[in-house]
Amino acid sequence: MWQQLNDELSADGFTVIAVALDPDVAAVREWSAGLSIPVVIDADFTVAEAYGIVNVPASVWIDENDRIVRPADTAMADDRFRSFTNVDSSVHHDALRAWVRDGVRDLDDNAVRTFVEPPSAELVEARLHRQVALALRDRGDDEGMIAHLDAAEALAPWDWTIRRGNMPLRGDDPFGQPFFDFVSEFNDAGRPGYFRLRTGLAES
Amino acid sequence: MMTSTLTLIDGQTRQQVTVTGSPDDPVITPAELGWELKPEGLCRGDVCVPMRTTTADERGGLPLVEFARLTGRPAVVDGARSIAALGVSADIRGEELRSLAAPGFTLPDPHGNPVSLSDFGRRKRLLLAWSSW
Repeated sequence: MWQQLNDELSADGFTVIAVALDPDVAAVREWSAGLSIPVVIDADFTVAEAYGIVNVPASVWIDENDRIVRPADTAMADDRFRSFTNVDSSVHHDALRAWVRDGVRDLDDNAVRTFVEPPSAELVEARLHRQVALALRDRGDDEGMIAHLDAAEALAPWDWTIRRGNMPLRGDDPFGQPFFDFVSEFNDAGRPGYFRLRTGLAES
Repeated sequence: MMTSTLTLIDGQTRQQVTVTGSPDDPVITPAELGWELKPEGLCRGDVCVPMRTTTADERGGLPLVEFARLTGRPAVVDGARSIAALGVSADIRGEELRSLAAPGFTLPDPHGNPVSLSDFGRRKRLLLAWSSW
């Protein structure tokens, strides 16, 4: 879908840049095979942090003058996960078309400032622990890696980039039971710390 | 004095720095990180952070934790595993985000080639964060 939107709007001066929050280069290669949009790998989440991204899939809009005109937001390609996200993906896609083609923004600068998601000090520290964990993994120190993944999760228990992003590093299935357990916890806790802006979210 | 090396992670870079002191409290040489201990404090270029230089030892070393505090960097230090990471403070991230200026970046593509946000300058861009997890 994002490749399609890129192709549809390319002549209007628009590009989708896929940012993989993923240290698994082989998985990124597999995912991005056949795509013509630029794909970059943000293995240590430094770009995610700079843009206030706390989950995937997420979008940020940047205009021709390098200004953020729409902050990090859930960005579903389609409605496959609608029962969970409660988000109608077409609302975001239509807003995107209106912005690219006609310069119409659905959020002004003040709204963008309201919705940006600066990290907490705890999340910053959690991501540092995760970076240490990745470097220890590269050294072959799995015990050290686990210790720092644990520290990261203790600091940021509701952050998806930490909790779910850690699962493959631990050898857990990010689509298996550990994930469903996390989702239950997350829902029971009232979905804390999730994107404030959720375009297309049904009022219910 | 016993010296060893410590892996210091700073954003996308990892470098090996020489450290002294105990594993619990590794001491770095600020010059290795581009900082200088001067009578007026800890300096980089024209920027100085006031500090009592007496806290630095006679060899110009500074505990890494103290260096991070003085330079306003959040840090995770695991001296026993000879590794540490320096970050950007949540306050600075918040200021940058609220400025609405899009942070520039250069990251590798899946084949290791660098790609920058500015490669697509003068265009409207959508960053799509995703992952295999």
